[in-house]
Amino acid sequence: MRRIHDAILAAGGSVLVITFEPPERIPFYVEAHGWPFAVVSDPTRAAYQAFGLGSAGWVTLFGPRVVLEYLGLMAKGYRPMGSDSDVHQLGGDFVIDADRRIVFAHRSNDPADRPAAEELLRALRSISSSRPCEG
Amino acid sequence: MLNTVNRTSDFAFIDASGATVRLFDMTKGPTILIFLRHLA
Repeated sequence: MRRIHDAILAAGGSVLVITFEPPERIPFYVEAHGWPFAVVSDPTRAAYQAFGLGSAGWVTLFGPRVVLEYLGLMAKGYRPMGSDSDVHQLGGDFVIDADRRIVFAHRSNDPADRPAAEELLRALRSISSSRPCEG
Repeated sequence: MLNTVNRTSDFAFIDASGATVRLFDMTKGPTILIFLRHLA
């Protein structure tokens, strides 16, 4: 996680993590996972809706791809902490440039459907490399 | 669905201290936005 974050900073970018959980839950999870990123809450999910993030039904949540993904994570030591939140809400990943144009968008189709960190980094670097030289 | 997060589509978030922060105040340059599922 730290290596990826350093690479993002080196590419001139930053990361903002958005959750719909209540803000008072943020510190616990940041500490538990060792996230080096800024984390904010969108409890009304206004941004989730605006960015077009959907909701997964039960069949999707327990589909083979998702089960395999979670089994793999648990084999690496991940232990779900439990949640009383909306488990149906899906996430997504976006890269926006300095003019707030969305240059990369990935809206998850299921909980295991996330782009690799390297894919996000490539999108970020494509912005940096297309920037006009100054000076 | 958004193509550009322009001035009319700025968003207000709440940080861990309970303060309201705006997307534009937190994203000065190229930014990766990661929308999470529930925290678990």
